[in-house]
Amino acid sequence: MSKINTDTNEESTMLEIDNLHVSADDTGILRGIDLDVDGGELHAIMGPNGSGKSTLAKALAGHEAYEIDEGDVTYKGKDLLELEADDRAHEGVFLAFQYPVEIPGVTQMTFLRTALNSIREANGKDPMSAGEFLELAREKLDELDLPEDMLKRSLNEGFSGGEKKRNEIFQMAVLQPELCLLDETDSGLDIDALQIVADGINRMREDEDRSMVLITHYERILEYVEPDHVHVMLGGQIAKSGGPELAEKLEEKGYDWIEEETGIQRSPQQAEGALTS
Amino acid sequence: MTQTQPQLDVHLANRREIEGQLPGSTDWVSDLRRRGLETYEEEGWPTQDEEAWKYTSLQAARETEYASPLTLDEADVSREDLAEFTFDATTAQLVFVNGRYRADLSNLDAVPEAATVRPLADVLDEDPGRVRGLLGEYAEPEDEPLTGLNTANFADGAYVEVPETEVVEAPIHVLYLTTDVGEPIAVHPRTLIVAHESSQVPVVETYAGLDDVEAFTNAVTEVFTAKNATVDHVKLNRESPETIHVGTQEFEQDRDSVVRSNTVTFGSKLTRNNVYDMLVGEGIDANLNGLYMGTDDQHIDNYTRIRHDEPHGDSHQLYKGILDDSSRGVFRGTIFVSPGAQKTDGYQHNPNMIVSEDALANSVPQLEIFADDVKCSHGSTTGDVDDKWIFYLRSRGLSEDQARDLIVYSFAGEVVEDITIEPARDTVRELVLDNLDHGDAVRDAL
Repeated sequence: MSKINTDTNEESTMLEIDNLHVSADDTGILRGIDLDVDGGELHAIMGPNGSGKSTLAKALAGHEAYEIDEGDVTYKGKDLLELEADDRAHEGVFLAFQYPVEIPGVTQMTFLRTALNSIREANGKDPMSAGEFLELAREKLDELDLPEDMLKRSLNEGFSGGEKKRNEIFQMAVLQPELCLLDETDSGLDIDALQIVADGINRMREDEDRSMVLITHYERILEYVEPDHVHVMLGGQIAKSGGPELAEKLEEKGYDWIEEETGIQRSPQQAEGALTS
Repeated sequence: MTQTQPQLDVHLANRREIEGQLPGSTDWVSDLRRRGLETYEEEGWPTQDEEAWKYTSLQAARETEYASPLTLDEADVSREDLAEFTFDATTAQLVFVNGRYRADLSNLDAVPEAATVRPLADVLDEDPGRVRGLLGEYAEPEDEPLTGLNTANFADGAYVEVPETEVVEAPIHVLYLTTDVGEPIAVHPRTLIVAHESSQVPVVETYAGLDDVEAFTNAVTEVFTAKNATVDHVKLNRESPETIHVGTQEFEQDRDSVVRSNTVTFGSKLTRNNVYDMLVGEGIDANLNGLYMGTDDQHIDNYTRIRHDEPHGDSHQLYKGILDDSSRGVFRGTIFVSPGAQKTDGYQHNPNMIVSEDALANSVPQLEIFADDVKCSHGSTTGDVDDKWIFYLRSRGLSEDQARDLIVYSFAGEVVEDITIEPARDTVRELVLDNLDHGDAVRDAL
């Protein structure tokens, strides 16, 4: 099933998804996704509940509950689907979770330093000392207006919804991935928190090679984070692609017109909520 | 299972052999020992018919032909042999090997002048009046048959006494060691800790085994905490994998006193910890935590009973279990609140983490409340390492093994990091890491 990347004219393609079919619990969810993300680009993926947005994010991050039925994903010229979740992280893939997991007792400091050093080790770099790490972490916490005691606290335990989302951006800022998958990181944030998260994303975009796939329900974040491309997912497929103007049109007119125009039906029976827990 | 004793119970036979060597010939001590013997003879071994022993069988300890090490030559043990169990060289330390005090391995130089730290046998032989009304007062010979047996058979143990208002800062370490002498042995260590009014003392008891000694340890520890006194206490089980360990700790606390106790079990094939605390004064603070980490087919049973007799007492118990392979953990705990013990704040929680499919946890937290103005809560949880946690950590670059071990280590951390005696806390932390498959990876991150 692996495909050797022979494209020579697409040197800047970071992620190439080709006819991806994914199922969970024997139910097909993604039905042939095609998507190319070039280095430095930000792609926004929008779509109603159950359209498969989160499934795409988790499948790309290597979640074992999602079965790849068909298709290929090439990342930096490698077959991404052959890699385990941790190897994908070592290669620079990062998923900001829609629902960040609470892990009792595991302190953010220990966890994040372990993560950073395992990525550094995989890339032939020396581990970062506790002191160096602390300096880096403080700088990033400050940028995201998060308190320093967050490092001592158990991972996401007792964090507010907004803190959890900001914490995902914080982790991303520390780990400096090459491909950022942001799964509804903007949901459930008040305008101040949204601004902070958007600023965090924009700071990461200053690196011209870094790519982002931003999955969202709401057009609002795109007022702060400007996408290069906007895609609409319906029924496990990308039904329509366009520029930033597409997002505005969705905000105005919803999704029905895309169903009518493309003949692709959204599939409400595939309630995404059942698969994201 | 039957209640009848074998014709010649091995522990009674042992007692007959060592009787002349036991310390304390004063009348009241002899009387105490006699009461212990009678209790043991009359009640016999606990059986699984009894509610308190429902999940734990001592059949193996009952059937093994244990010798008393007092009938054998002194074991050839050097300081190097002990190194893995001791703290740094400046720590005050009492060492007992196979039931006998070993001055050559102990270190009493560090004991503050005001405090008394010495072998109990010496006290009973030279100055028995000093422990009269204390020894056997909190762990009464009639309490339980194995407490009775300990009372009848104990050869030695640690005596720690701190006078009024004295504060002992550095911990006192008591090491009870068993060694392989070629046949199974039974030891009955006895510890007595007395903290007088407004005094403070930290004590660590380590029970350890060298090689794969097959031993039966039947330990009793009595701790008296007088008004406004503080006792920090850690009991650390590092016995050999062939040993059966029954240990009873009885605390009695007078008003405004503080006990911070940790009962930590890594060793023994079978462990039963009885932890009892009587809160007989007002305004008492009792913090009784535990940690147990089972591997192979270890069986670890923690049985606690906290009794609030007076108002404004706080008791807090957190017992955490990590169970791997085909090990089994048992927790039975009771908070008893007498009618007069208003404004009691009692908390008891027993979370278990099951690391292997074959491991098992039984948890029975109980409240018996006879006062009407109290705040008590209890609970237990048993779960495995959640796949969601693993995926989250892996998505950040941790390997599956690293993720799993970090989660287990962190689970233990809540108890470990609350251990108030620093060298004991460091030791326990290291032992948790040693018990993990990839502890080094976690250690690097700390």
